[in-house]
Amino acid sequence: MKSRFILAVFVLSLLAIIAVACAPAATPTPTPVPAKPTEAKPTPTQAKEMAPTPTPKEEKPAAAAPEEKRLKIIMVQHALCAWDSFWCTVEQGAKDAAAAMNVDLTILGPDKFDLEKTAALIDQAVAANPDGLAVTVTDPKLFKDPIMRALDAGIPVVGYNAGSGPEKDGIPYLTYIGQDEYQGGYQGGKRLIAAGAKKGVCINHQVGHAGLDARCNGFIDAFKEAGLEAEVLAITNDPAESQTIIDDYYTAHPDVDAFLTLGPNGANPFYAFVEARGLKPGDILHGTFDLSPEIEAHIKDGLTLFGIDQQPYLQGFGSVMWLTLVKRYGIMPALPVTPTGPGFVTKENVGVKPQPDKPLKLMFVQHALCAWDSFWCVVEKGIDVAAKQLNVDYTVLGPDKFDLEKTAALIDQAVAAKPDGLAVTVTDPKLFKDPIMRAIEAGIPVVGYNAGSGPEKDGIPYLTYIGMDEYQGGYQGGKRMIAAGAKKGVCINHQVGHAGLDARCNGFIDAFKEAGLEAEVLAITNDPAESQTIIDDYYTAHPDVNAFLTLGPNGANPFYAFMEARGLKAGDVIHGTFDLSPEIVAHVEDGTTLFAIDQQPFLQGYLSVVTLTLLQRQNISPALPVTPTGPGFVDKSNIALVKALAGTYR
Amino acid sequence: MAAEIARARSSAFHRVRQRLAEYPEAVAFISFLLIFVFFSLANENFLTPISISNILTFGSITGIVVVGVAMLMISGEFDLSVGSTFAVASYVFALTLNAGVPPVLSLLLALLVSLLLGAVNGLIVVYTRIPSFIATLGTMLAYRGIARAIGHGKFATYKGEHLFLFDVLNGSLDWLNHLFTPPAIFRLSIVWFFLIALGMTYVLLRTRYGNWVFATGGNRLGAYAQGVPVHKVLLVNFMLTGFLAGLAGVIQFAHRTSVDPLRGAGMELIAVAACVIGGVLLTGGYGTILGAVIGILTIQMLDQGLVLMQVPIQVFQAFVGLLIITAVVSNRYLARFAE
Repeated sequence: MKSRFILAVFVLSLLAIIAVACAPAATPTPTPVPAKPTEAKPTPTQAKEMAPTPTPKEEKPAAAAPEEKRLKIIMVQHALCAWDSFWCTVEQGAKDAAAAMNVDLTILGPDKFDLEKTAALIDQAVAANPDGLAVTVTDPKLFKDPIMRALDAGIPVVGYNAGSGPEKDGIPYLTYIGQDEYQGGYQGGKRLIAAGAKKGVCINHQVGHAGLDARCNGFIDAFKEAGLEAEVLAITNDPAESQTIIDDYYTAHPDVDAFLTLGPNGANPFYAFVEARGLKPGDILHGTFDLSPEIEAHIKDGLTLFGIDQQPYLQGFGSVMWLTLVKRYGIMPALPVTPTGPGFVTKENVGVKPQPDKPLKLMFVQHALCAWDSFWCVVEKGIDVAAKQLNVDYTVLGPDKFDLEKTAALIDQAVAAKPDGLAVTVTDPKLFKDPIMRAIEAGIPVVGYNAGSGPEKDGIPYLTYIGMDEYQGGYQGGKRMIAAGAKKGVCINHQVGHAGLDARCNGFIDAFKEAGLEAEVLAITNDPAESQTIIDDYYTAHPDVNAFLTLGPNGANPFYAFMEARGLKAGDVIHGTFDLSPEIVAHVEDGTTLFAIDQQPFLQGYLSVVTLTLLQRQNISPALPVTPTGPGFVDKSNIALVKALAGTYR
Repeated sequence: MAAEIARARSSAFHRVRQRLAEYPEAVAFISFLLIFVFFSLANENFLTPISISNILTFGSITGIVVVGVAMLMISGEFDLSVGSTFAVASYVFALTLNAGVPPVLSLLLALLVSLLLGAVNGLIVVYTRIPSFIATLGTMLAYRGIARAIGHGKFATYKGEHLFLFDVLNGSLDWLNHLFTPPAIFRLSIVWFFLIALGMTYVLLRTRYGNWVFATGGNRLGAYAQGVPVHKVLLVNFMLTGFLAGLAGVIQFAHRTSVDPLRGAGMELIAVAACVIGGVLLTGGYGTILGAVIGILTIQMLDQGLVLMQVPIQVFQAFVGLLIITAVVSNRYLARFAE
């Protein structure tokens, strides 16, 4: 009788195991965050300071998730798929994003190339009062007024495909989503050097064209950095003449072994030259911009190392995605230019057809979990939202306490599962190198997120690092303060010698230098009272300093104490800071603090999913070694939304 | 007729049950097989060189600790301080290496320190007669404090050139790994683990000392009466446990070359769990090293298998918990026939 009972217990436990195994993924429900800001755990090689999670002031009502609110987004472009097939890919990307992200999308464009009509379409779109507007900034002068009207109406605007970024275009839209020409040349140069290039030439078929010149400049800079030589060779639009020019050049410079062409107009005469000379793949190195049937054929036969694609799909997809993120979560694009290219097409991925419905299994290995560090709830929320939108399976793995050894083991365990993509926090590049290399060697695409320094600095050839760009945080912050009237700046550093914090100050100082202004670093300590005195003494000695950047609550709190003690009011001095804390949020609201810079943890999870998914389904590779999720500026324009979403999305 | 068949069946069942009861590791072995077969059928990536080598490589480190803990448990005592000793040994190894001490000397120092920490546990238990659960709960915290203090609460990362000693301790078995594509990650720690387990099995089953261990754990008063040097046995077992914990620490360090202040925390309970799953009785006097080895491999296999099955990591511990309960219940069910 008793043995029966025990048998029953045994069977029941087995059933319970099966039941749990089959249960749907337990979704971590982030509880309201305690007031104590969560600090990042120390890491051996670099301690990345993580933004403390702001405290939600009161229980939020159980409102519908932001994803459920349908958005209306309008795109205005200077051409249409209907009469220019290039645009079919852009539109497909936009439509796919709209379908995934619960967005009503309208694409507007003229029936022929007609910029005046396009400008009118922008105004018509503004009249529809959309939640977001994407515009090809084909003619900044002509489009400035209509875009300004959209911005004045409070509509978030991004540029895509055509444009040079808000600064160069002179229109304060959010970001330009398109090819980064300089980086195309620069990254291309680096690839050629890695393949053994000793001396390079950039074959420019239209010297004086800003975009093409930028490509050559990037290429030459890459060679210079490596201690090598490279120069520009001007050719014409006449193929035969160009072939002769290249041939003559090669005769005069037989030691040149790396050639970059800027499109089919350069590549075709180059191929003719190679054929006439009887050169074989391996004799010389060649890379080019753009793709054409000839270029693709030569990528396959090994003559051409790569074709650089601007990835039009990503221009459409990214426009809808960014506008959605801005509107729903107050998440801001980190930089004035959000590059969609260079997207490198090489022997490995040439001619790969898109598989939009490919089922995917992604794995995330991170050094902490939402279960015991609330910072990570926001990252995991980003992963979850993106995975649901794009319909991919995912698993988040992490240790039960801060344990890098276990994290490294988890990477290996994840590799054994052969996921379609792996995202890893590169917390300790030395420790994680071997496991990540095993993933790469097993053919699994790997991205880094939240912790890391990019494939080059980490010495691990993963695809891209998705996280905060510290230098740009200081640089863009400095620019904002200058725009707000800063005359002389100081970067208040609470931990001089910390690589990440120093980079922020360097960026800040560089922004001031570029504007012909002065700025310097002031070292404070972790003792708030002492720090307040240091800041006070500094201000007494330098009363002309009117711009203060602090690098987190450890700097902002003594700064606020200093302001109060001195009786300084909002407007007397300009203050910007990194990170969000309840105090900082309050001071952004009352105008004392111009902005707070966030690393946008939601975006770290979200973009990891998007990057790996687009790579597998659309053959789109990340443009740069670092995909910045920050600086994400929180200012008066989005503080209300950020505050409302604190702890879940922000 | 029906009753006769039932009786025949039940007697056959009894015989099997009685046979199984003679082997303490029977339940562990059956659950190991069940879980192994389940994952093999349920996931196509389980029976792959990567996954198998993951299980063995990561399991072998805890496994070395488990061998010591199993010896100690058979002699009727606990050691909850193994995770802390693991960390102290890693720190001593790391810090002395970075200070320029010759590698072999560093290794000996780290092992000596772990031996001493084990001896302290033994002396406390033998001379104060505090239950070892309490005594080593105290030293678990104390030793953790030592690890954090000598490391100043920071990571210790080996800064020098790659050492040949690291290859001896825990080199990658590249000749084996590259037989597979993609390559596996078998490491030398697996070999050490199995050698240690074999050695200890020999000691336990074929030597007088082994008999003393069983006697000490099974019936301490009887053991005293028969002249078994109970105190000596306990002291040696505590030292052995400390030594093996330290050895596991340096072996892991030889692979990862860095150690953090919380390294090894939680390992003590995993070790006890492995022993319990492996049929070692908490009350002592009964159990085998083989059972404990199967126990830790089962836990590690579960860990890898759940990753492959994409089970949310939040419920991993629940599975280990269920496994422990199931194993103990089944072990007790069998143990009644062993008497």
